[in-house]
Amino acid sequence: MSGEWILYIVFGATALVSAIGVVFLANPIHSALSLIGALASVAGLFLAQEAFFLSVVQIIVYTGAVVVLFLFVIMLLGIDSADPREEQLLRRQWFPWAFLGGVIGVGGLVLTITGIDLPFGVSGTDTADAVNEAGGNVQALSERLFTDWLLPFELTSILVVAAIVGGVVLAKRTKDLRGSGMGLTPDLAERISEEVEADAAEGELDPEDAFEADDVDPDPDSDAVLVGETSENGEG
Amino acid sequence: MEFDGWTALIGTGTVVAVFVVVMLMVILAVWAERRVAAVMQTRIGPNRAGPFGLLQTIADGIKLLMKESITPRQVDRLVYELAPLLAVLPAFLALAIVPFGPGFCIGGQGTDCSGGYFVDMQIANLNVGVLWFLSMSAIGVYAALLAGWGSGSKYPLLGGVRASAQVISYEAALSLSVVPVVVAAGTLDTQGIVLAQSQYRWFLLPLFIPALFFFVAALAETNRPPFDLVEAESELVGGFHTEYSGVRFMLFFLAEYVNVVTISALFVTFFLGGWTGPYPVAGSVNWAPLFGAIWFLAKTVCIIGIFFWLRVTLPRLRYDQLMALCWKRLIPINLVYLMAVAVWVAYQATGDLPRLVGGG
Amino acid sequence: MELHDYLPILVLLVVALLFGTVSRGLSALLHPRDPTPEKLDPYECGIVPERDNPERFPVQFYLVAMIFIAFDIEVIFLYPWAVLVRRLGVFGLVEMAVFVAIVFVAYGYIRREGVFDWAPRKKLDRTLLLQRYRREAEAARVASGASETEAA
Repeated sequence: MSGEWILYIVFGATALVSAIGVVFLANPIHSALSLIGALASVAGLFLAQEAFFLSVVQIIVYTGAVVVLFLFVIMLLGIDSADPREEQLLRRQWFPWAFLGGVIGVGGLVLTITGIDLPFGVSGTDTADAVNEAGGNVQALSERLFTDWLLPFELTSILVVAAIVGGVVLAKRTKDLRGSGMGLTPDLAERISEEVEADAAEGELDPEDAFEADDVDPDPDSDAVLVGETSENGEG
Repeated sequence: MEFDGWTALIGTGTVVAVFVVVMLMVILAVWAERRVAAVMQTRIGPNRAGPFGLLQTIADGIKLLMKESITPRQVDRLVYELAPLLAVLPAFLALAIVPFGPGFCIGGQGTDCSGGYFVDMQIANLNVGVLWFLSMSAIGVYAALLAGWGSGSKYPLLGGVRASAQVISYEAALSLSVVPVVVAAGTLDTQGIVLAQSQYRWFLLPLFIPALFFFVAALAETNRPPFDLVEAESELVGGFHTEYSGVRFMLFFLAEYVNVVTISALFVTFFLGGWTGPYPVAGSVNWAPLFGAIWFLAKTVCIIGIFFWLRVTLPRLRYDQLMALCWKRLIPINLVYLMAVAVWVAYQATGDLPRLVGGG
Repeated sequence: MELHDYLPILVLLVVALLFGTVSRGLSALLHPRDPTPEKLDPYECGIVPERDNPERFPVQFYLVAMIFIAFDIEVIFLYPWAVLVRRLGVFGLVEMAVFVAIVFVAYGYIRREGVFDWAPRKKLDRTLLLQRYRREAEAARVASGASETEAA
């Protein structure tokens, strides 16, 4: 048995087991942990194929970044906050789509195994020799990416922009971002100023007081000093 | 070079040697940090265990091993146990690509070492070396996050979430500041990066800004002061490892110092010419590898010393300052500098950057 | 470079795993076990826990992770390009400049939106608004005073 086969069997098995774990583990954090295992195993599978660059990139982007995002999202939403009835509803709504996705996935797998070529897409033409000639994995990939696949590469940047902007826009839609660090946008400023004015009009809050109340140390000693000073000033 | 039993033996030997050396360095580093801090604060520091207190770290290690390792009631067992391991593993694995000296040949002939065995002075000479290091530091994020969550207690959770946001942010800065090095060296292979800096064409000078940013990001990546918000005692008790005791705490502590050693070694590799030194010029003497290792260690120790110095000197940053520094300063400036370097390198496509700038 | 170049890394993984598990196991043999309810309580910050753990975190963390992924992808593209900068020449420079410029547009947007401002905005905003409120009130008073004198 060659090293490639051993790697394939070991990582294939761990990928499968942890993928099953992702689906069946009850605790979402455990699922995410399992996902780390699954994605790292896929990196191992790439390694077995001598796709060294792809293998490390898989770890950097998927294991190291995407799952962190998942974990943040799980923590952001709160683990126990899901309403079971709502979850049931979601499950029923999404089942057909999940089923369709599964069918497509299995179909693709079958096509790959049976070796039927699809009418679209590209089949690999770069042999190991071609890679070696270019001076290695990264060089070969780089040469292809920055010459033949220039347009898809540039389009990726637009995808990245869409992802960033989309994320921020969605985050801004959550009800109130004050205190969560989001900047002072004009409409937010409008709302706060209305609140402040309303408070001031009701006499609940004197703008001068509000300005200081937050910052003054509620220390009785310092208060005493302040009082003393004002009275002295009054006399003088 | 054929792969056989001898290659495997050499590989294993290298791993064991590197492991032992790094463990020794960690043990000495923990002691040295306490002594340096003591000197700077006009105290004495640990001086009881062994000569100059040298054995203090070992004594502490044994103490931690024999201490009761409390598992608090509210923890998530699986995650709680896994987190220390996840701290240690990437810390050690990142070491794999650090070149400690020039490779040498045993029993072979000629430059390609035919018929013999080539020893790399490096655990694995990967042609994606730089990216291997980045992937390991990417995995390092999970230790704090999972330790914080697994502890099932407030302050560790806050520390863990804070830690992971800090580490991923500074990882973006860290990986961006290595790109100019790759541009200047034209390779991702760490040994190649060192060779590109031979003859004193260190990247530190032409790439001073990326070097500085790399160092700042390295401080933040390893959660060292002044970026140790992860375990800021004054606000988070002990941070993500508040609920850890005994050996599990020891593993976190150890991982931090292994990371410091690794990242200092990488700073030397990327910016200070790695194992190259004034004597001997690579390959001219049979024991060049030994000298290489000595130069390398000396440089690395200096960088580790700066880590200690900064720890004693600088006050801790506030979280918003930390994030602003990373996203508003380091990342955009790095990107602009990178493009400038790339323009220069492409313009001088025949020569290379450091020779032109360093005037060698 | 071939697959067996990665073998020492496997050895290193085993060594590191052994180190972790053996020291863990050794301590399990050596350390005393005397759990009391007090010890097993969460330490927190040394006082009695009053509230449950926060269940939800600010959206900011999610945004940073999201933006990190985007920048990570950008950096991943930068590496293979960096290796070949010399060979790609001006052509390579231009294409990467376009790529970086497009990502910079998104960077400018999120920076303007204040995603990188982690300071407690609420207080800051209030302070700023109060200053503006006072300024406007002052201006209004001056204006009304001016009109009164005019009327007189």
